Amino acid sequence: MNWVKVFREYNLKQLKSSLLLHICVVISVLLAVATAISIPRVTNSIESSYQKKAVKINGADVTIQTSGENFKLCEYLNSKGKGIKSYTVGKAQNGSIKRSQKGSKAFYTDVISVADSRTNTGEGADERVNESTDEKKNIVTVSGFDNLKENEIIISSYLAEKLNLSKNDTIKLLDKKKKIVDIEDLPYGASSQGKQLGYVKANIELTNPYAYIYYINLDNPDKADKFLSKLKSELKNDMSQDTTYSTAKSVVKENNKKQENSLVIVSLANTTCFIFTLFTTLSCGYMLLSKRKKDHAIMQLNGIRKKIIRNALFFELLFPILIGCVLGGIFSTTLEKLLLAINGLGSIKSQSIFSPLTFMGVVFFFAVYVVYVRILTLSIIKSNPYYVIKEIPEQRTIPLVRYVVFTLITFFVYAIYVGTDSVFVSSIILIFVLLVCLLVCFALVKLICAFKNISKTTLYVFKKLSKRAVAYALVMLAFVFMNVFMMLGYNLPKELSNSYNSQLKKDLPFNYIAMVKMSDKDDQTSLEEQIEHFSKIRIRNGIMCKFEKNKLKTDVTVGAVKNADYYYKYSLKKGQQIDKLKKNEIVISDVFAEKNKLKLNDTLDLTLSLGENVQGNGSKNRQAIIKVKVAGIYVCQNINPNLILCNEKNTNLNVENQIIAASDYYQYLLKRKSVSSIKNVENTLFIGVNNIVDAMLGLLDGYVNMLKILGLICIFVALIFSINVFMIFTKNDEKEQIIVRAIGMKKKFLQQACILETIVYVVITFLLSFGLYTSIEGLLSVALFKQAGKVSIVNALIILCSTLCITFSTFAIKMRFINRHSNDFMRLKEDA
Amino acid sequence: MIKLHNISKTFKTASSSQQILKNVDFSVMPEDFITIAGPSGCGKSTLLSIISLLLPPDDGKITYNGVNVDFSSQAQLEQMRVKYTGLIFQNPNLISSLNVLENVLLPANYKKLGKKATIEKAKKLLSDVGLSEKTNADVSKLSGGEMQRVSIARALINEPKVLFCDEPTGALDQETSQQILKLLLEIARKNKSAIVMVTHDNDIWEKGRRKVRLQGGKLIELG
Repeated sequence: MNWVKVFREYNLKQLKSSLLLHICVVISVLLAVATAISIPRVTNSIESSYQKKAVKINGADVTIQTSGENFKLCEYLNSKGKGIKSYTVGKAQNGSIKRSQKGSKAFYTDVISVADSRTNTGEGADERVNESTDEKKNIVTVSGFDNLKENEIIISSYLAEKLNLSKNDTIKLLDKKKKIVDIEDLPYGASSQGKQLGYVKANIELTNPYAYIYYINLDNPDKADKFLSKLKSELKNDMSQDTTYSTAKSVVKENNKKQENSLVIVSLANTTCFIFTLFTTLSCGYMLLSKRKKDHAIMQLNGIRKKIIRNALFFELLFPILIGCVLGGIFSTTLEKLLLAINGLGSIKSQSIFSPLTFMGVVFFFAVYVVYVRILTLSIIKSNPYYVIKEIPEQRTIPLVRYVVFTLITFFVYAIYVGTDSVFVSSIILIFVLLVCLLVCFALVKLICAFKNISKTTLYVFKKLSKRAVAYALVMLAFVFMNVFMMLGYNLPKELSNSYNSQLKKDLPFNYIAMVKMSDKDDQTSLEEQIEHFSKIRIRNGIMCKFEKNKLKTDVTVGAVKNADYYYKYSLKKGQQIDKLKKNEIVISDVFAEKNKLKLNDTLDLTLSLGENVQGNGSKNRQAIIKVKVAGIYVCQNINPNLILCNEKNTNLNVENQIIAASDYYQYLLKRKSVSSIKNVENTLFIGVNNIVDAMLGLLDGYVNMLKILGLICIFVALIFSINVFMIFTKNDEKEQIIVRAIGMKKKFLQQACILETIVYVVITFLLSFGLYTSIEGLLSVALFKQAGKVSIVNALIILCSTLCITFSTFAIKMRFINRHSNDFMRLKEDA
Repeated sequence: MIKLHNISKTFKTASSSQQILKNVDFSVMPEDFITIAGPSGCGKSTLLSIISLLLPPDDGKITYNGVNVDFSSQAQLEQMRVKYTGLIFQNPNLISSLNVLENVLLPANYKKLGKKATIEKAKKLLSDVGLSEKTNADVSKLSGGEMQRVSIARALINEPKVLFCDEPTGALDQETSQQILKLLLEIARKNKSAIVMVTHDNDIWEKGRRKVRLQGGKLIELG
């Protein structure tokens, strides 16, 4: 007899009764394959998009971003023989955008403009004069600015998604109405901050820029790197350390690096998904084997060789796997589109369903599952038909080592398929975490079972749990990961925002910053009349700070405060408060101090450019160097960390008070519930501290959204897996429960046992879910905000509720059996 | 002690129905040893299940010590099962997660003697069935005969008035069967329990003080 005959005459006839298990296998394989293929597809689509549009994304062949206007750089760009075709200077400023409807929430963002840079030289709107040669050069047209009118803006897709905006909507930017004419999927010519937090492009005058962006086109774009290295060496002493340089090539490189980071996070979810789908597929396979083990034993006892039975079952299982793999390949396109869309990249062209990457993926995963099924069917070879028929318990022979080794090989080959080793590393980390969690689950089960048995119920339940500790631990692990993914996808951003906001409330004495131009006396008067308490800081940008000891050279902002205007005081970490400062003493932020390794009593050189606009011809190189001493370090919570504070009365910086630069402004620190009631301050920019937090958390959005989708898949497969294992348990338990009733135990005993078992499930699942989620949240909190995470009771309650919901379904099924069928004693007779 | 009056039972499937017991009258007296035999599928086990209150009859009446059994009252059934019956199956049906002693103690009523005394009693029973050395052993490591001995000890822990045995030696070899039977009779005598035993084995059937044969749904008492 050959296996085809067995397959035709036995396996095919069993298909109907095993249909549900096969459907479970198809769904599991489909989800695993679709997820695993879609992730490299997403990366590939984004990478090829970046490659095609590298120059457009960079804004020009070379882009340089400085925190202050750099006259030396301008001189260099205007000089002859450097291979420069054209250049344009853009500016970036912090601003807020909101929907034009009343009561809409403002969103902190980056405003980019190249409009006013055209007037910098006073040589007309569309041309820049090369001063040294008098030769006119065309300006660089940064994407989007070509035909942008004054009442029109372009926004990034991130902002559009955040504020639910679409083309032709009207919004308020810096309190002026604008119409959205375009939404950019990729950050074309955006500032570094804008790339992260979203941006608005507008043709408006920016008065308080925090960054100047120099877009430079070269005669020979291929020599961009050479040009940059030459520029850096020639302007070695004139460029601050926080200047950023980028070329089309570096944009692609930076994106690849970002994609790799994103891949690490996403592949964690992907690996979890794969492992749980694998658990599901294998548990379905083992269920099928356990369902048919008597048939297989009878066949063997009737002379059919084990190998034939194994091959027939193997062939039967290939069908759902093949269907799952092919459907997975097809659905990977849909999932890819979905993942691109939730990353705000909906317009990026996704790869064809027949792409080589998809085909290779389908073939690869089919081969992988074939090996898994081959390992699974080994148990037919290893089982003893006599033991099966006589119901003599056999030693379980799940080839765990083979599974683990093959899974590691799979992840290694998958990393090659994706094209990055970080996927393999993150998979190994995840397997390690899963193993640790499994061990903890196992240890907790054993620990609970080691408690002194106070009654027959505890004895019965704990002994049962202890005996099947590994299987229980696996189900609990599935429950734990369901909880953690749900919390990561749906609670984490809100949680981080709340935790950071509450820390801000504690550390910062204000919750709004208002910025008013120095020259706008009307707004200042109006604002001061309407608010009772405030701190008023006079801000000057573009000051170079030098520290010889560690060769520090960076652009800073200096804020001078009068004692009488300093109501809301920054919390001090060390040293003196501003109103106690002596002559030429300053207070720096904790972030600035840490970044530049500065301590109290260090002496810094502040170089103030006195500005051409005020002094007229020949004055643009005039500088004042002031020596200052660090007398205090304040807590800034990452908000404006480069702001150096001094006392206006006691510092030489007030010499410069006589010179009012166009970019000088007053920064008011306010503490209010809302700023909407403040009237007649049209030119004042209000920024809520919580908006800054939201914007910072926006960095996580792409990952969180991907985690949401993959988390849903993980929840789904973990659920199928739990149901499978639960069904296997239930089948065993049902007979045992009938025996327990038959030997004289009351129904109440079984009900109590069921409740106790569920309590153990809830306690362990809750403890592990809460512990794992709190650790992840803590790690992210430290990574993002440098703060330890908090243990939240609300989180504990959410996890507890979710755990109760998950376990309740299994509890209800068990209870139903106990109440209705545990006295079905005829089943004992059937078994006998 | 136990009286069955006019008991009938029919098993129905989607396509057919088969009457297993037809108006059976039967009684069990204290310290009886009744053996029931009959061809396969004649309803021996069904009759045993009905007498031991595991299965409700379709028609007829059962009284335990003069009290009419109400099969709709789970509480009464549970109470009567604990008080009067001990069950021994062909398959020992032990709880695999519990050890030998724990299996015996599971149905024990601690309130009757107190926990300590009940444990001593269980140990004594295990010693009586020849398993005093294996009280803490894992049940999956016992032989078939040993497992059946554990189930006998378990059935006797609450000192039931009647021991219902459904082919208790059916899965055992001749020698072990004889040993188990001897043991059962000895312990039942010591506990003054009656035994109702379903068997296929003619030798065992012959040993019954009351020998019953079931044929065509009717009970024929042969001595």
